[in-house]
Amino acid sequence: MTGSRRSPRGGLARLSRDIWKSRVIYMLVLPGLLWYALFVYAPMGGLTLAFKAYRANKGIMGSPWVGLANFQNVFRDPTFPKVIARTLWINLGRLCFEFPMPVLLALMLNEIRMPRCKKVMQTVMTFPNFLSWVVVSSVLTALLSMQGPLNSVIERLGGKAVPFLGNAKIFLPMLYVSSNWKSMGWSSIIYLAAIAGVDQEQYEAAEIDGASRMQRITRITLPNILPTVSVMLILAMGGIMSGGFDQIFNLSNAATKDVSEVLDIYIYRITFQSPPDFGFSMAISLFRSAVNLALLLIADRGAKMMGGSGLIG
Amino acid sequence: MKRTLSLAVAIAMAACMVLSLGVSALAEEKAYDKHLTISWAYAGISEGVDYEADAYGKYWADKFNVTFDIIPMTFDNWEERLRIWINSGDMPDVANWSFYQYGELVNYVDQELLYRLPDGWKDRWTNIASAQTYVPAAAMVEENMGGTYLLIRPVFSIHKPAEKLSYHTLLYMRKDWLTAVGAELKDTYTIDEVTDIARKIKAQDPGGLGGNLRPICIETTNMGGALPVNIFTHATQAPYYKDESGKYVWGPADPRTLEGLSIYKGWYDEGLQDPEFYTLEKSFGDQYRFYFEGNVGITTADGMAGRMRLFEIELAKIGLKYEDTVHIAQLVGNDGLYHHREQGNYWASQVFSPTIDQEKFERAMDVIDFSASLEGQEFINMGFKDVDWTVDESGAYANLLGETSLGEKYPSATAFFGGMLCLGDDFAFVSPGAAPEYRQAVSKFYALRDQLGKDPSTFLDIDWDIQYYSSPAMSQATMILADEYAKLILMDGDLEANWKNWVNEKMAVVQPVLDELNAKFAD
Repeated sequence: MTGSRRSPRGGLARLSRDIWKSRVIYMLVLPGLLWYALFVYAPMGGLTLAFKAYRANKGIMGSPWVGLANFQNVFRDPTFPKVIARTLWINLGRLCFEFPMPVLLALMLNEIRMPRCKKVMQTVMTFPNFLSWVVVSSVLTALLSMQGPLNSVIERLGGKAVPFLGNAKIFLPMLYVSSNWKSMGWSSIIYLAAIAGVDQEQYEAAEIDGASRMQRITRITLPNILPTVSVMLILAMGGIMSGGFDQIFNLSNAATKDVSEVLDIYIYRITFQSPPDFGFSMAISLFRSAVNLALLLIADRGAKMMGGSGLIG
Repeated sequence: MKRTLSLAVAIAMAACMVLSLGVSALAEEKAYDKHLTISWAYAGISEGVDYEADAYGKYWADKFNVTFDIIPMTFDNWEERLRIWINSGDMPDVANWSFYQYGELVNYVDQELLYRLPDGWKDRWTNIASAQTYVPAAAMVEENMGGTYLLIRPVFSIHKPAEKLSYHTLLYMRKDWLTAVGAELKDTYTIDEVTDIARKIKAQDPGGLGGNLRPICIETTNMGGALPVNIFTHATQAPYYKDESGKYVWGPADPRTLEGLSIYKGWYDEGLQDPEFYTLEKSFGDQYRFYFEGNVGITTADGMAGRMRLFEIELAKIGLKYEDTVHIAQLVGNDGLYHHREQGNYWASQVFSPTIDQEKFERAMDVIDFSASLEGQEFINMGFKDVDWTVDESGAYANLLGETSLGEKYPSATAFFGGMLCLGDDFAFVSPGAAPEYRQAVSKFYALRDQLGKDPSTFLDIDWDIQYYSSPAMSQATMILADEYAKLILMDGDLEANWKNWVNEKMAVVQPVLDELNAKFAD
């Protein structure tokens, strides 16, 4: 037991030797590390704004410290707890109604026998991802308005026009449906890649054993891509307090404000729809990141406890 | 000898004149010998207009040797875009800024995010200085800030139609439908009368539009000027005000606000108001429906000659005649009184980037100064003298454009130059571009509002203490009341319960403001 321990100095020397030995490969990593240092870690200095009263003329570093005053202001706003609850609610809904869809789509695409048809389907399903939410929301607004085609059909069938855009109850389903339509194909690529890596001999053996197609999916494909699903779920948990700004901003209106103001929209409103207070906005952002990090760690630990693979350690 | 001497003197004088002309021409040329490109963000103008494609735009470009790099903004997002630019230090050279919130200006000045005009600028740009004297706020802001950081755009100058300035928005009603449903055509309508007419229009559908009929179509922001304000003025206008006890209170929490909201909700629930009014583009979306789609019975729009002319032009495109189709009137409360707050005689401002090049700043100021001169106003509003307009024997301006409007002849005219500093509302009183009946209508309604606004509890004075008060608590309590009210109207459940919950929620941020105001200004 003791013999297996190595002194830290010895480990460092060995690491240095390894790095030197593979220096050409490590050189390739350097631009990536630099990019990360410059554009990800260096801007984190801006997080100090959460504890400062920002003054543009003094810069981030020169602005005066105000301790926790910005956080006090955040928690004094009665809207804030509601926004937090709403953000969690919407994103938990996304986990339920959006997260499984690309997995299902990948499984279905994998079952298409004709390669050309499979490619066409995949292209068609991926294409909407490249449309911006501005475009998608314009189309949706036109489609769902009182004088839009959908209501025309309803009226022609003898029904009464429905105010889809102003119905707070329809807003969340509309978010999930439109988001699935737009992103499902793109998100399924990673699962298709995972499926492509499954050992084909397993399928051949199962076929010889007389396994049905559904059995092959549930007993071979799904278990094989489970580590990927697990990693994607952990990542999704890490973003549960954020995301969806473009979509919600473009689809919401006064009628749906009470169900649509998530944390990102709240930050935008505080920062740009009223006299800006960057310290206040940063305090909220920092709070959001802390919660996201906590959820990511919990999800990671949960995945490991259930025997899956985690992200960290 | 005498003749020779006279000739010599004449030649010498002529030479002097030519020389002086040449020198002045040279001086003028020299002033603008360097071509500059000035980026200028401007709200409410169309994208994709080539400002030098017609003679009007070319005149400006040539006169000042400038290329205007116009950045169009819509009224839906101009404040947000400018905030991003200003706060990120990425502001265009000049920007048309709303200046809705004084606290924001204080914030920007404090952070040196706006250019401070050099002391003594008023001596050099006298037309701008003169235009600023028509806006009481300009001097106050300058004094508070310790310098000039923005040029406030006056609505009226020499033709100010009333001492206490009212807000000009009017009802635009379908005259033919009103007649068809037997409604009386008159100059004022109370909220209840509008409700009654809308009900008749809905029931009788005089246009035969079926499901497309919109008896009332007023978008969210404009609704803020109709309800609940016409029941209780402080519901949106000057929401922080002193009650009888001399203490500051918050108007939206007053039960009279709920009374106004109940009528607003009634309009919506009964199907009188456009079912999707909250999705319409701010400020114009409702009137578009009136004149593009022709399916609206009652809307609101600017009560200015230019707007009436616009309605005339646009209605003609769908085969409707303005005089047969439009009846304009003033909306009043059920008490028959005018409800609003006095206007400060300004709308928006021009601000400069703190990093603007000195040459560009001076050139931009020259452009604005010209726009504020009589010559500039004549050109802006009427075009080229003796081509588009002239002066008749009586000394009045006469239109040479015929049936065409200035904007139709020169698309660049309406796109950018119109409201550079002085808004067109003032010149509209003498401009031959607008029909005399429109000009008379504008004057008539200003006089009418003056007459209906004698009660200071419905036609409020500006409380300058509040107008130019700023604090972090005030900033945190900033909200767009018109949007908040629309949300309440569209919310499921009982309006009163929803309103009470909303008031309780908002009081958490409003009470600190009231405490501050009462500590500083209460009687």
